[in-house]
Amino acid sequence: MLKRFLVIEARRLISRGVVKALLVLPVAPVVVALLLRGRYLHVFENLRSIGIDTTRLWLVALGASPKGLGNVMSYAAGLVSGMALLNIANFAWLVSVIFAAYVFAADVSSGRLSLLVTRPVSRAGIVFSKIVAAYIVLLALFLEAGLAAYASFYIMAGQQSMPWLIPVYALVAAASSLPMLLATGVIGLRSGKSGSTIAAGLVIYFVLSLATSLLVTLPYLRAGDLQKTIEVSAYANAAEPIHSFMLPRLVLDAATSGLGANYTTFSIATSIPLKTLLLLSAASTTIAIIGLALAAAKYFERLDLRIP
Amino acid sequence: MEVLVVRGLRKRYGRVVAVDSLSLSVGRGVHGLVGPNGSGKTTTLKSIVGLIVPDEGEIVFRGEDLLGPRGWRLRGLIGYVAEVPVLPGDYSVAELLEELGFLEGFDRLSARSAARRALEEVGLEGLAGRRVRGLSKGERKRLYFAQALLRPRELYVLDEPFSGLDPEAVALARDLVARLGRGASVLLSSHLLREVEELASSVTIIYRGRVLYSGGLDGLAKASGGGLVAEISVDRVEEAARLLSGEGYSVRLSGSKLVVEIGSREEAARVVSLLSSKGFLVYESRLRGTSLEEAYMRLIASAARGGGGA
Repeated sequence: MLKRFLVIEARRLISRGVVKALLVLPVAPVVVALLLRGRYLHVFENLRSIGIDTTRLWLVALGASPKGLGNVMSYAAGLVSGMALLNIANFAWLVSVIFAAYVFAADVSSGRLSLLVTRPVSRAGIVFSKIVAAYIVLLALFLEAGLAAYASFYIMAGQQSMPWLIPVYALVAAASSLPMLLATGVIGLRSGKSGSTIAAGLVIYFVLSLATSLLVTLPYLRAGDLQKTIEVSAYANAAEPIHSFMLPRLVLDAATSGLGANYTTFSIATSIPLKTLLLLSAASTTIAIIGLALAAAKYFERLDLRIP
Repeated sequence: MEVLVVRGLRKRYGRVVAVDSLSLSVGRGVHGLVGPNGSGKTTTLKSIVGLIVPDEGEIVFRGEDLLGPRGWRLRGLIGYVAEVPVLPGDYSVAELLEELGFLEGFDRLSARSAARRALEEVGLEGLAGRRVRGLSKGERKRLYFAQALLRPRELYVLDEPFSGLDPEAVALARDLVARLGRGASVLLSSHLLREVEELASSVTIIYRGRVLYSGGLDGLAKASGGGLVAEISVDRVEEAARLLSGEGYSVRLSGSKLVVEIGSREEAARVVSLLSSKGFLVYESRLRGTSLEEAYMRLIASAARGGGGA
């Protein structure tokens, strides 16, 4: 029966207009690449002719640190940053908040959740079906985003390397979106309002981001080293906040630069080695997913569905 | 044999106690659940179908605890119709029923035919392709009914199933409830006491979350302190009422009839003789037991004054 709930939930999510739009959006970088191809092809050809590696640009568009690319970035920083802005992978936090609104809040207010609860399935089963269904759709979305990043730079800069990172990245990115989805999902269950859920998600994200900046700069601020504080603050702003959304970037950095290098801005700012950061982030994300999933299930077990 | 037994149900919303130590039993046939607005009927029904989690109490269905960790397994045997038919608007009528049928264990093909059958039962077969958001309130109510009819159930929990329906649909729903009551158990909450009296063989009357009476309709008269009632058609009906009141009878007017509470058949004859002797023209007199409505009013009035229930 749970398998049926899972199938229905995944189909339901894909049938929503906003999710359909999100699934189409990753194509945007490919379209832009086709338009810009003529303008940039010779730039990258020149770079390659002088022995510069241009095969990892697609990873930067997904969120990998550009520092490892050195010379290439000085020539193509604008292009790569622009392509990164177009890539939905860099808005994973927003995607997960939108998913939470549709997976949980909209189902409460539409009365659908009441219909589901009166079927022969446990409440925990309903929550876990929803989480797994959301993960599957997120996985499809990030696979698409990875393919789009790869394809777009293949079109503009020629052969790209490490295509095997596409599924690895998608698996990690989808998983790292779950903590935010679950945290806002519980709010959605409580409020039954999509708008409030999205607003709460935005607040959570920005509070976490602010907390990250404070956490990183506080030691230097306490030591009275203003110059270092400003420098680190700039790094911290450039880096992802210290929550699960950092994990996919760290994976990309680790894969491209080797675990010994500190290409990640956050790693440089905090002087924490990339390997340690990766392990910390993976552990905290796993704990967050399990903890929040259990908390959501527990909360839903005791929740009164008074609408309708 | 009792199909559903509710014991000591209690639910609070903040400081408000919606249901307090409520107990009732439902056997085969139709069991009415009546009470004023806010008396806890919907909270009780939603607790039974799993939408509300009670603070205390036990809900036993077919000998198993519905509130226990495995209680959800029995939910497929319970059909529920909500008072307010809030349904997801972006589905088509058929899609919604087919999805719910699939979730209840039908394969795709069987879910389709179950949906078609259910729609025929509620008279919505012509609207299968329409979006739910385009349905009227009455049509949504019928659609809610249809999802409860996707498969035969052992218990139907119906919360105000007649509200929002036009007279034709009320008649259809009434026949449907009567038919369901012949093969299964039905817990019917309604403000339409005449419909309840017509359909149910037993009833629970609740007031402010507490049970005032629960049992067969035939025991209501005694429980409410009522007995036999004489309905008398007479000329100068208001003057006749004043006369009988003056003689110490409990009298009220129902349209052009006098409704007089009496202790025995002989007393009814004495009342008719008294009216005739005072020059009133008695057209017709009929003896009957206390109606649900009369017992309900009596019990609620007594409870509101601070008296206990039966």
